[in-house]
Amino acid sequence: MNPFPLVLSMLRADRRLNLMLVILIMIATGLGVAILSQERALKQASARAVDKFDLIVAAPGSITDVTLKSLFLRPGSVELLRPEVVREVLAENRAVFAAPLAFGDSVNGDPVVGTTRDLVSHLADGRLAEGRGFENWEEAVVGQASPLKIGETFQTNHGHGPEETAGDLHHASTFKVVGRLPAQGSPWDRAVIIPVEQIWKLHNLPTGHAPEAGAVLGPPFDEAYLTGVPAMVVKPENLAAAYGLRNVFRTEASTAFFPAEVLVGLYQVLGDIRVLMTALASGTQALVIAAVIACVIVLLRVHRRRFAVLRALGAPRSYVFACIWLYVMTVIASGAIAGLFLGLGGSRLAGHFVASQTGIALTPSVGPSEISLAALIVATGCIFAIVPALAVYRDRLDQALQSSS
Amino acid sequence: MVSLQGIRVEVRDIPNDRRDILAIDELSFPPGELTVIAGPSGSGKSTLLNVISGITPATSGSITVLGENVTDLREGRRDVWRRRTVGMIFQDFNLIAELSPLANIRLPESFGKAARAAENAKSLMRRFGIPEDRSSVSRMSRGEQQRVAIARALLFDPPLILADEPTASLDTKNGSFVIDALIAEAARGKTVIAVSHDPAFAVRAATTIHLERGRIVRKERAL
Repeated sequence: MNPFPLVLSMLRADRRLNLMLVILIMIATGLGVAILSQERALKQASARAVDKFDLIVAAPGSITDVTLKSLFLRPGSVELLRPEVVREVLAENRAVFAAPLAFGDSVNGDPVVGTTRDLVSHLADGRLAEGRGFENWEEAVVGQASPLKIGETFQTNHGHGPEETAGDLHHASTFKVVGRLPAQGSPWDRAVIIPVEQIWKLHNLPTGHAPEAGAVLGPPFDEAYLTGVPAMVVKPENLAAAYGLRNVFRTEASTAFFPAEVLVGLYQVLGDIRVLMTALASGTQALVIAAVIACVIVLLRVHRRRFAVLRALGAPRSYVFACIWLYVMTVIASGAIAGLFLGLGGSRLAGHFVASQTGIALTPSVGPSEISLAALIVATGCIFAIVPALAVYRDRLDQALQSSS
Repeated sequence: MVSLQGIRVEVRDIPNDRRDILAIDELSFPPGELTVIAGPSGSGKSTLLNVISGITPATSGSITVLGENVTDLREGRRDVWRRRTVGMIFQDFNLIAELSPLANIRLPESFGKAARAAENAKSLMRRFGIPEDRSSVSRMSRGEQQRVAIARALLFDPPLILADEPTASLDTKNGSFVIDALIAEAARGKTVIAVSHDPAFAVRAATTIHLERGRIVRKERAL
């Protein structure tokens, strides 16, 4: 038994309608695939983005705000960690290093981050992609995606946003780019990193060193000249130290947290949204399959006589059943496979948009869950395809032969 | 030989109102002859063909084709029997428009195997002058399409050929071609039964059976 010639003829006979049905299923599948793929990519990218930041110490308040501000470099303001706490963190001997973070400026809309050489070295895993770390107050290291080139000089703007909407120029200081970080897959790829002392100086704050000490780079900082900071990145010696430090700095004056904790909370929200969107997408998929089957049933009524003729020529009922089932399955499977690619394409497009808006590099892919979704749609189609096949299977041959279509 | 005994086909238009649309006490169709079934519309001509081919089940009676009682066959066996024994030709050809002439002729191979079917298909195309270069039968004239339909019916070389108004939608030239082809098949020892209003058909048939209201009213043998 070879139903393929007839299946091909059915596909060719109503090619526009068949194409429309394939497109419908493709869109329904693509929607589900894009949701799954995007959610996974977002989780992976956000986890990768905070991977280098072991422990954050900040002022009491929303740890989500601190994470968004300090790690994802989103504009906004957070409470400052009091100088005496900064002093305590810097003095911690269970930390490999503790790096203050300072914000508030930008270069052509890209955020300027003030920190120490320790953090730059840590982010680069000890090896910059280009150049070297900053060695004086007028040098800067840029992120992988920064348009600034090695050797280029720039001035910072006060505030965020593009140059034309940013605040005053800090004309007093000109920086020279001396190094470039390897790709972080995070907003830090667009960041311009300068010595934290310069940020403090530009904002008329104590620079962490006595004036007579000159332009030295910390740490160590002079405790008497420390100022408040939005957050501090702490690299603990080991896991036990990490938990120990987190406990120590969870006080009335400060909070300490692992960025992963924040992400887990965000993932829960994301997961809830995903469940909702997946439910909506599944509903759409079920409706589309039902619409396709209804359309096929109408189509088969039009071709009723064709199948009756086959039976009159001696084709068994099972042959007619197989032809119709295979035809419906070809339409559904083609749509589902095309939907995988559409979903991946859509997810990549969304990934580009997210990356352009947030700097978080998303790498959406088709994984087992997306393939399972497409397989589920095909499997559902397998079952639903029985309906029209059975309708023709049970058709009375003599009546069908007399039908006008 | 095809023989019918006490055939009744009953329908119920409304409950408790039964009527026979076909009632034939005895009828036989010898091999090697073309028999034409004639009669007005609704006289039961097509029903008779469908009953012989096993498409329409008879309410009672028996039909024997080449010694096999068709009415005793279950549906699956009847499909196989029809595929091997009967060649069906329709008024509107009933070809698959999207397939080529050759693919249409070989369509029965999709659901049944037969020795030398591929060679037969080629040979039938040559015999009926069917052009091989057409990608689809929809690009062919009606006469050519009916030739393809006849070739499809003859693919498995069936001993019984049933044709339902095969010349009704053809011009005189193509109609004559179809009649010639069916007479040629009869001359090869096959039983050929054709339903037709066409007087040209009746003139050339060995026997013409006239039906009215499902009953035989006249039977004419050619001189």
